[in-house]
Order: sequence, then structure tokens, then C-alpha cells
Amino acid sequence: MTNSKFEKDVRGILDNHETEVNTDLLWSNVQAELYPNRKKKFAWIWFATAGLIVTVLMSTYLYYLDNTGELQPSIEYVNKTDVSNVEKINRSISANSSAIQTKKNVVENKIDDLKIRKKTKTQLKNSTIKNKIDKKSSIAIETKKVQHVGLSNTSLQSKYVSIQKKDEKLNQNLPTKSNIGSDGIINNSATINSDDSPQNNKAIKIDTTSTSQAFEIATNPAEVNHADETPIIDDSKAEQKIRTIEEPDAGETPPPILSRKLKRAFQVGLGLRAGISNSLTTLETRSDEFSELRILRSQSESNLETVDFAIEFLLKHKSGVYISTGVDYLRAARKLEFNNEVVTVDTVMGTTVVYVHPITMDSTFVEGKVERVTNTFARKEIYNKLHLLNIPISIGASVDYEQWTFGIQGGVLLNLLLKNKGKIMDSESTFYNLKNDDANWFRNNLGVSFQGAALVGYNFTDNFQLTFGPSFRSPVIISEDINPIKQSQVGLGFQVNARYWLD
Amino acid sequence: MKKRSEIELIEGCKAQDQLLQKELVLCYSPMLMTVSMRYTDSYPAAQDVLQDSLVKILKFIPQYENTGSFRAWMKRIVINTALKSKSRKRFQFEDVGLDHIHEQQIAPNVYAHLNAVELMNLINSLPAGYREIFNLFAIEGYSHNEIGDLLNITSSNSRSQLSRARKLLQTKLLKLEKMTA
Repeated sequence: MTNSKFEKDVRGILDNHETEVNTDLLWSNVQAELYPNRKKKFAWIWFATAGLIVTVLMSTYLYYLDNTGELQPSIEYVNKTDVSNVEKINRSISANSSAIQTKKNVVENKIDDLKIRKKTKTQLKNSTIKNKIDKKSSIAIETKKVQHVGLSNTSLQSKYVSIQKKDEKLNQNLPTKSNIGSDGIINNSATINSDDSPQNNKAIKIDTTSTSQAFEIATNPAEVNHADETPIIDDSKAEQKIRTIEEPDAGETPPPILSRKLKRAFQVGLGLRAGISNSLTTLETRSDEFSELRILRSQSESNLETVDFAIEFLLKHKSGVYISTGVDYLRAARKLEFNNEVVTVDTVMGTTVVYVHPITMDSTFVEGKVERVTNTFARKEIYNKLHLLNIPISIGASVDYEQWTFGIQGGVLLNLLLKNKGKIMDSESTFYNLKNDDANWFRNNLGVSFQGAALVGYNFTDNFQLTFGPSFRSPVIISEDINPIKQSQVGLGFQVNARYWLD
Repeated sequence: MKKRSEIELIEGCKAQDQLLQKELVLCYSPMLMTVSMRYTDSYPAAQDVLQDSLVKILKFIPQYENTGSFRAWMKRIVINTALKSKSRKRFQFEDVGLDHIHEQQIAPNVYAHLNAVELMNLINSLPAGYREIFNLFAIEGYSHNEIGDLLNITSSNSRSQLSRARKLLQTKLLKLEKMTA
């Protein structure tokens, strides 16, 4: 016997020996090393896309909000807008909208108020100016009188200094360009009178130079009489100016602002959607060898309902065409039913040994614990739930007839599998856990599917509408290529939308 | 599930079919674990080596050209991984004072009653350097030149170490025989 014989024997014994090892754990570790972070990578792509869409929409909306403040035009354009609004409202009145009628009345009242306020303020301003001019004139006349009665130069000079001070004070109180527009309507009225009315300007100009003229009058009495003239305030011209403001020339248009045009053309809306459908699941084999597994799964699984909830952001053109996006959560449910056999082993008191006497044939029974095996068959149910997060991007169109609205919409859904729970059968005796998904049978990134809906609705107010109608969702393939069974789900159901259109 | 042939598994793994990759792992892991345990000091260390080896096998399987035994190819990867990954002190052969013992034949009756696990434990009780050379030569069938290349030692060194390993094993077996007698 040589050592080579010993070694050959050892080789023979050890070569076929197998050591027990946790193969499932081993595979999951190997898989993690071979395909690192695969699931997370795709998840982040979809989250980033969703974030981008939401950000763009919200930014657009906020842009509109910000520009609302900037869109407050000067008093001229406020008036002009009001007038154009009246025309616009007049056109809308023909559609017999009670809400628009109310709006029209409000706007008309507003315009009337503005007119009255303007006129009143103009008159008030004119009368103030008139009073000031009267005061100045009386001062000039006084100066003249002093000259005529031949007061001494000293007293005349002191009198003149006091008059000059009064004159300066008056000049300070007169309206100037520098304080135009800082105080709203009153200042704007002042603008009209001081800048735009030639008559008024003339009157003021004559008066403000009257004191210096008066001093010169002392040497030229012939000209003093001119200072005695009372300035004329022509109210009809002021009114004409108001009319000019309210009915501007064709060339006097407001500066074009893009956001203003967009605001007129588009309307932003927020919506909530709820839907229910039947999750019609299709199971197909990738090759003939898995046909038994497909039959097993088809027989053991059945469809349940699919529910979905969504938040929508909408942008609607005045023509009725709109685009929408948002976030949609969808839960599809299926049921796994199978026969479950439970084997229970316990002990009961019973006869363990029977002794029979060989001669007398007497029997002796020995009592003790006897093992009992019970097989229980039961029908067992497991509910499988598929949780999806979708990013819908849809385009739709709607038409209004009186208070009713009719529309269609369609688009794409970017699907992301959040969670898959439950079990499916992968042989007659074993189950595959959907949550663990050890073999990576199910996809996290489900790609793109299509959806469509026909909607009928009712406009409860100008801003709020409720629509409902049938909906369709194209097949979503939820299985990976390595899954022996290709699994896809179609949605056919009903949806309800509540939408609020912002002004 | 249907049991696939070795060729199907190899082709499936070459195509990176995860289902077949998993099947390969489930099918060959117990056999490869035995190999791994022969070159490591503990069960957890053997598991780590096996895991690394399987990753290498699945990564490099496209390089396997269906020539020669697939099992032998996989075993070689496990052995190489075990020898390279161990933070062992590179061949510090222990002098266990065996020079006075002459290498003798080991009678079959000495080891006939030992099962595979006991035999493996006996071999694993050898110092690491002796164990590796004994395993490579006696069980895997490597030549001394191959062992020298693999362990970065000379072939004569491999021969002498194998001789020492045999003597030590013989001593252990004789002790065992006395104990059981």
C-alpha cells in the first residue's frame, strides 16, 4: 500500500462531498456585487424628471403671480384697461352669464366713481389755485397802493420784504412737477392741471412772477394794472382732458408685456383626480418550457380592483386646449389562492404496547403517549399589491355648453414601481416573494405607458368644475426579461376630476 | 422548476440571464464550498472566498471556452481566490520536528472508518502551508511545478513540504488509531 493509494482514496471521498451552504443568501450577495445600485439608479432618474416638471410648472405659475403686481399700470392705463374691459364684458354679456353681468356692473361702477372723483378733485384743485392766485393778486395790489400813497423807502422796503416772504411761501405751496404722481389720484389730477392744461399753466405762471413785477411796477405804474387780472380756470378743458385720458388715441397703447399677453391667453389650474379600474393582468411565457408555470399562475391568481389618486397642475389656453402634469399614485391588487396543507404532529394518550401471554393468551395494555399526525387542508388567500408612482403628462381639449363641459384627454405615464408585496407560485410547492424579489423578476423602472379619458362635467362656478368619465391605461409591463413569465397590466375604469382654475 | 444541463447554464450565464446565474449558484455552491473550506481556516472565511469566487466565475464565464471540465475550471478559480485573498503569512512553514520520522505507507484500515467531514477536519488540522500543498497535490492533482508557480515557491520546496505534510498526517492518523483502538 503506497501513499498514492491513500491520497487517491481521500480524493475520491472529498471530490464528491458537498458542504451545506445558504445558497439564497449567497446568491443575493453575489447579485448585489454583480448588479450594484441598479434599482436606486433608475428610481432617481424618475424622481428627477418629476421634480423638473413640477418645478417648471410652479415657476410658470409664480411668474404670473409676480407679474400681476408689475402689471399695475399708471392711472391713464388703468382707465384705458377699464374701458377695454367694458367692451370685453359687453361681448361676454351676450353669452347670458350672470357672473359676468355682475362683474360688468362692478367695473362700470368703478369707472363712474373714478370719473366723479377725478372731476371733483380737479375742481377742488382749481378752486385752491384760484384762491392762491387771489391772495397773490391782493398782495400785488397792496404793493401798488403803498407806492401810490408815497410811503418812505424804508417802510416800503420792510413791507416789500414781508410781501416777498409771503410770495415765496405761496410758491412753495403751488403744485410742481416734482410732486406729481407720488400721491395717487390727487397728484395725478394736479398733473393734469399744471402740465396739461395750458390755461391753468398760464394763470399760474403770471401769478408766480407777479411779485418781482410788482417791484418793477414802482417805477412803471402803467404796468401795475395787469397784476390785478383774475386768472381764469376753464373747467370744460379739464373735463376734456379726462375724456382724452379715458378715450386715448390709437397710437397711445400700453407697452407690450409678454407675461400680460400670456396671462390673457392662458389660465392655470389645480386638480384632484380619483379613479378605479380593473387591473386586467396578462401572463405570457417567454418560452414553452415555462408553460406549466404560466398555467399554474393563471389558475392561482385573479384580478382585483386598481385605484389611483392624482394631483394635477393644468395650463389651459383660451381655446380650451390644456396640458396637465402632476403626480399619480396607483395601487393594483391581485389575489393568490392555493390549497394549503398543514401537518400537525402532537401526542395523545393511548395504548403504546400490548403484551399477550403465550399460554393464557391474556392481553396487557400499556398506556402512554402516542404520536398523532394530522393533515389539515385549507384554501389560503394572499393579496398581492403593486404600488406605482406615475408622472402623467397629458394634453386635452374641452368645450363648454352653458354650464356643461365636454372633453377628451390623453397622454403618457412615466411609471415607477414603489413597492410590490405578496407572493406568487413558482412551482407547485414553492412561492416567490414579491417583496424580496430575489431573482429580480420585477422591474422598478416600468417605462412609459399611455392613458386616455373622455370627460363630461359641470361648471359649478367660473373657476370650479367637476368632470367624470371612462378612462383607459395601456399595458404596463411589470416583469423583467429574466422573469420566465411576462406580466403586464391594463387599466380600464372610471375617473372623477375636480379642477379649480385660478384667475 | 426544470433542471437544466451544464451547457444550458453556461450559455445562459454567458448571456447574463439572472435566472440561470442564480441556478448555477444554487447548483454548484455546495461542491465549491467544500473546496473553499479546504483552503480556509473557518466556515465564515470559506463563505467569503466562495462569494468572491462566484462573482469571478459569473464575470469571467464568457472567457470559458467549453474545453475541459467546467467543474475543474470553477474549482481552480475558488482555489486561486482562496490562496490570494487570505491574509495569511506567506508560507512560513512551521518546523514541527518531523525529521526523525520516515515517510511510511498509511494502511487503509487506519482511515477506512473516517467519513468525508472527519477526513477533511483531519487535513484541516495540518498547518496552513502543509495543508495547502497536500490539498493541491493529493486532492486537486496539481504537479509540483504548478504548485510552485501558484504559491511562488520552488518545486523542490513543494516536494519537501508535501513529504512533511504526509508525515504529519501519518502521525495524526496513528494517534487517532490508538485512540479508537
